[in-house]
Amino acid sequence: MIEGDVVLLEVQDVSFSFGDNKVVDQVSFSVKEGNCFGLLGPNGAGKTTLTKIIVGLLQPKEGHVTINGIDVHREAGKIKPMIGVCFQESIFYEDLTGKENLEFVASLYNIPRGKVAEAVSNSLNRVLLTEKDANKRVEHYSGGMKRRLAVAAALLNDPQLLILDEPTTGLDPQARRALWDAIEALKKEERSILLTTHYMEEADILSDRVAIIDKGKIVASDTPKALKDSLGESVIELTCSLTKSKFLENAKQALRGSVIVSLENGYRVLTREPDNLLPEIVALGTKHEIGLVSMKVSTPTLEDVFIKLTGKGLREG
Amino acid sequence: MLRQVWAIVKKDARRLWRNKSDWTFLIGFPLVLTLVVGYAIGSLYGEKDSIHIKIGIVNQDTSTSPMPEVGNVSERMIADMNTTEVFKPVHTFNNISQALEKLKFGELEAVMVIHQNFTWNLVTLHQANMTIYVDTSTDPTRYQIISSVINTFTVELTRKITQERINVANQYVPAENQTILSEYMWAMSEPVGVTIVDTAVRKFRYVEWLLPGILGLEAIFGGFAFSAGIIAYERERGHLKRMVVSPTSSWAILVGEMFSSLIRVSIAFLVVISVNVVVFNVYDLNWAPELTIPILILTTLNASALGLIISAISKNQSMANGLANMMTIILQFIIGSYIPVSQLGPLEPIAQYLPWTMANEALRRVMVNPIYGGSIIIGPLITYLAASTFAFLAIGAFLYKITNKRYV
Repeated sequence: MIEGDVVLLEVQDVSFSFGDNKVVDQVSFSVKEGNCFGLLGPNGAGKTTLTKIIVGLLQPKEGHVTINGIDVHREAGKIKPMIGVCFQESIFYEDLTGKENLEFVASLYNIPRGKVAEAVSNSLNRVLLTEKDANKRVEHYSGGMKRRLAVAAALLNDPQLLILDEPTTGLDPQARRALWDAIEALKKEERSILLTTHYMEEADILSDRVAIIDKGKIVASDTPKALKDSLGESVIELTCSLTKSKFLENAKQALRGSVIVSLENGYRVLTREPDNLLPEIVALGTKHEIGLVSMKVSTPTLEDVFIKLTGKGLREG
Repeated sequence: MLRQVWAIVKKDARRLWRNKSDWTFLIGFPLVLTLVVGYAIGSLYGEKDSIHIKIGIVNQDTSTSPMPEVGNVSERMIADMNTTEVFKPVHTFNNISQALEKLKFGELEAVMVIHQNFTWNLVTLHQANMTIYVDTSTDPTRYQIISSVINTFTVELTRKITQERINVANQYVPAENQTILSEYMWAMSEPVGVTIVDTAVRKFRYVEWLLPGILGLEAIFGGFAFSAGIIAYERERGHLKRMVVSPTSSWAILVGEMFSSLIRVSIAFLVVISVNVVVFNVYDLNWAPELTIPILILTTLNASALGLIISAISKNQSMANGLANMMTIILQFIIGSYIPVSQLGPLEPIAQYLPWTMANEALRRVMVNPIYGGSIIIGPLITYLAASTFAFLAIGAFLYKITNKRYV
């Protein structure tokens, strides 16, 4: 820990199982005050379970979680007013307006009656929802508006720690970008944020530090830049009209020392010597008739870090 | 905590105000129920077979017959009644007020007073008199049964005594005149004069008796359905999760949800009462809001607490609603809402110990009994209802905590 930084959230050796299925395995990380910490992993990696443990909904089988030095599970009453949670799903009364939903949540957090209107208005401004939007029933909201309203609800109690569980899942790129803008604005307020996501771009743009989680375990944790730099490799992106298992098999043998994974519409190769490999890849692609559309050499992303560490893509789960 | 409870109640009230389908159900169900039951069952309700009548007898007859072989007729009559399944055992009393007190409290269904000189008058060819007291307020359908049975009994008694009189008279007239005398005596006979007195102070109307039962049923139905449905809905849609991570206590959530049920049920109460007043002219009851409102609140809370248990054991909202509806459909027939518990035959011993039967009975004792001159004694009923409410609440809260953990 850098001297002078204050740790707000500390997760220490936390494990959790559903029956025999261990979904969180000895997880440890910490979030410093004023930082945005990204927890990046594919669906089913254990992010939501971990979030539930952090907010006190689930009791870990091992380890403990503290916020501001207070144990989340032993002193839940003290912790609850300190956190704001934006759950993965939209939890609103559809037949109430956005404003009425926020007023209800404000009451749950015991915000003084005279300050509810101000708190609601501030929260709406932060997530860029207008007064007109707020007076519509939630059933008439778009997916993006609902997610922004969810973040607004999490901000009502002016929490020390804001927990955003997959806030942009299911949103179109435009709505996702709008929500990122709102989260960026919150970061400028130096608000402490724990963000879980399976979008590497989201974790890269928004997080000061990222922990990569797979099958319940943290496989790497650092700043996004440090994680990417640690690869010291380049990326060859192949876009093709067909993906064939035989090609992947042969490429893995031929390109020893590199990592190759199959993605939605092509392949991704991590290598230290892209120039030498390009002709070999083209030859293999032609042989296996994968319908090569384009090839691009680029710098690594967090997804490449994930690929390197786990041997699979983020969307493969 | 009060503010959070109020926030939950306000939120549910707002949602109720906007949800048209809820209103259809909220107004439609009690409206149709009251009209159907009022028109159909209320006007068609017929007599039922009597199994047993709890009768008390005050025998004021100390006279004896001048003919030693006849003895005291009233005592013979009581002995005969004691061998009849319909009346057995006959309770005897020394004075009328003592017996009427038992009638008032529902321990007896009829009191027969055999007046002085009953035996002497019978044997000396005068009219012997008896008075039968019944109370139509406590259980109206029984009145018809009791009247019918007593009528049959007195007709049979009259026939028997007339025959005995003819036998005695025939000893003193020539054989050729005996047939004419017999016919004459049958034609003129009314040896026993029976007066039936209804101790209730006014004529019974079934719809008046029905109203407390419908109110009780609404409280029970509303409590079950809304409590079970709302809690399961909150859990299913994730709202409970939001509440649990906020500084709102479980108790505040529970109390808030239960009060929301109460608000919804109160609307149903208003509909039931309005329909009864406007359509059936039922307004001259003992409304006693200081008693009826607490009873209705307690009944709703009792049912809501059971609704809580239903929601806890149900996997989702539709299962919770289904279970609540099924229970109401069954219970409505056995808790004295439309059909007196005394008419339930083998189900009576079970029905009379159900807390909702107690609730209906308490409401009836408050609203109906006094207008028929009956008593309002509800202490034991309310105690039972309150105790069961606390028991349901304790079980419900326990299960609520356990199941919530499972669903978050």
